[in-house]
Amino acid sequence: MTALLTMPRLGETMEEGTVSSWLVPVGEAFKRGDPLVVFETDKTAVEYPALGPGRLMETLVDPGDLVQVGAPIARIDLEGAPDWTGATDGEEDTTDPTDSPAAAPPPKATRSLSPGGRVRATPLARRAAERAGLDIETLVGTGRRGRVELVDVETARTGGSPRGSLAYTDYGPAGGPPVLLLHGFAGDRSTFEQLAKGLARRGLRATAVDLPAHGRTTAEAATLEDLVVAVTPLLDPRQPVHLVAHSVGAAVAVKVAARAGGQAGGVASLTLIAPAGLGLSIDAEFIGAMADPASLGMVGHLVRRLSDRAAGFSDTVLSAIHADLSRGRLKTLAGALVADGRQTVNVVSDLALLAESLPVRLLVGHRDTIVDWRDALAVSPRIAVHHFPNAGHMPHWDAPEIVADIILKGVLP
Amino acid sequence: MADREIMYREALREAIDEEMGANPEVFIIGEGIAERGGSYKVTEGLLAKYGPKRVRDTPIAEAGMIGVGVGAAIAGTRPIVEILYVDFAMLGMDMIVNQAAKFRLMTGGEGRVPFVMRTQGGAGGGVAAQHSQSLEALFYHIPGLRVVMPSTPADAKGLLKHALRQSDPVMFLEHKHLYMTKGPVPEGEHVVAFGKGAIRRQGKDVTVIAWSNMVQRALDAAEDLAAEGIDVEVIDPRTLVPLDEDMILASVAKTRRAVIVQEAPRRGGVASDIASIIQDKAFFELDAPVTIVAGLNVPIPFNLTLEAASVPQKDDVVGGIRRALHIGPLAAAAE
Repeated sequence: MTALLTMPRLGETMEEGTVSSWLVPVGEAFKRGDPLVVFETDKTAVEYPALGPGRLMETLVDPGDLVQVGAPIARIDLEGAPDWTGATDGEEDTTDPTDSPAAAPPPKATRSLSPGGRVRATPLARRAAERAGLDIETLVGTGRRGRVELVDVETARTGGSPRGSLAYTDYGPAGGPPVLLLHGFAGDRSTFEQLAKGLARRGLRATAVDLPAHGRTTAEAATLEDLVVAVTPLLDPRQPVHLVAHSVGAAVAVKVAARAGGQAGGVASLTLIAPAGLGLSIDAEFIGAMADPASLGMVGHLVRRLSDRAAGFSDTVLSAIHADLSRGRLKTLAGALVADGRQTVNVVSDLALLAESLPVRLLVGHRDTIVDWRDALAVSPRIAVHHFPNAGHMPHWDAPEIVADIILKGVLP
Repeated sequence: MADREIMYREALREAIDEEMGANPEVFIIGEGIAERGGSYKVTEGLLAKYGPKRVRDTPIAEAGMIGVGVGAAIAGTRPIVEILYVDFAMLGMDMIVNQAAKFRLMTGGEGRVPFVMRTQGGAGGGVAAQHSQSLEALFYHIPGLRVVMPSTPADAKGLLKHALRQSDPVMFLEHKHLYMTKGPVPEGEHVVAFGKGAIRRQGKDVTVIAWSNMVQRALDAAEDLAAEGIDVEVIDPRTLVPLDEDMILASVAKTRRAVIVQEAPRRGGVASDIASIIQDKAFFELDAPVTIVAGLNVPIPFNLTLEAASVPQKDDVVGGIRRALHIGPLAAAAE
């Protein structure tokens, strides 16, 4: 069966557009998602993808032609696939575009830009992206639940995200000594918010990222190596960064620093808070259950193991955490970090080597029930160990001012 | 003209006193308002000054009081009917909804109803479900009524004076917690026209829209967040009907985010309507969903802890603003 492809409406106010070029030769087959044609409107040029499979039989307009919205632009062979040319959002289309091409409702612009499912974006961001000629699908969202907001469009428009594919937040003056914050398993950058603001107030430039498989970063991770690979590009040898990292994030930091070669590779110092990778002991139940929580109640019990502060979490907060963890993104990673109830990751020798050339400090809470703080007693004498007798696994929650002071003293000469 | 600090209830008294002095058609009736000077002491001293014909106690009969007021307004006078709790205005709803709100239209504009119902609502102090409601949405829904909710002494005075000079029925809704609050009120003549909001705090990160007792709560929340570098704009519409849409939309266009705070239950509230206006007229300005912080859909409990839980507190407002700014849940909880 053949069908007519019509000029889509690419923006709310668009009445006509110019076909700029055809991207599929006449006679060739294409599949869903393949770019078919480039349109120019008064605002932007966009590649328009196929919303389903088929074969381009005949083009009805030539490059440079101005075409009214809804007018036929090509004849295609659907090759047995259901007719997708007049598709509307979730509705059965009963009109036959071959009989009445003008009556076929044009696909919405957002849909045409996202054949594989829509990106979450605010109305303002969509408008700004359209104005800037940016494909919203390609933008990394840093907003709530990963949605693209105006700031993300601005970031892309002015030269792209400097953090690769990781969602991040910057705190403090742009020229301040740079600090990179890496969170722990099942956390996200917001766990560092209070500390980051404390550092920012003292003039540091703190950047907190969401590691792969966490938070709003869309990239997934199956192993510690995936996390290391994602973080490594953030280092810039011309401007060494102070790495501040927690728990599993601390193991990532050690591996990243070791691979980069310390100072020369862009790491100025290491501050490891309740680090993983120093011993076998770990609360494996915590790791396993956070990766696959059976209930909201269970999440409440689990987070209380992190810090007394968590006892004050509201149901709203716990529900948000539960919803996030229930997506199951952490299951594979959890299996890679813990086997037979023991830690699989070992950073002891890397850390000892790094301490020969870099300032390294450990911050451990004696009430930590996730990893064993006593593992820190066996590290190289070149490493400073700060003890928090009353803190648990989250000294940066339990004693944020002291943690900020320690980092500050290490960063400023 | 220099400002002095006076209480909300004193500001209301000044407005009544000045308008009664200026216009012999203005009179006030209510329960215990004459000899006792009113339960909230708004009308203290007026009986001695204007006499029992113009400052009149009534029996506990709200339907009768409101009926008298609406009828007297139609007959050409300017009555103020004080209803002790807005909850009891429900006894007069036929007179308000079917008579006062309709009369101007149904007489082709010949008949006017310059009826002012002064009353108070809101939770606080454990006066339970029948003495704590915020019922502005009922009146807001009825075309023909003006709905006024002053949050400061200056607005209490200025808006009440304006109410007594215009010719449509006014639901003048005070808040029981505001009577003792103090604020600057200009000396001399001070009138505030309906339909013009007030920017209580300038900010660039998020717009908070609040009225009545929630204005101060929004300002307190803004103060907390300012310490974190979050710059909150607080808008007080002052009158819900007419509503200063222009001010709200201009602010949202500036901040890109809106949080609406109301003490009344969430369901079917004024906040929902303002949210719909924003999405309708400023959709492409929004960089986040419009957030509503409202009371729970429950009768206000007597128990003080439950009462506080049923209406927005400062932390709820802070939480709503954080939601609009998508500050992570762990960070919010850890602070």
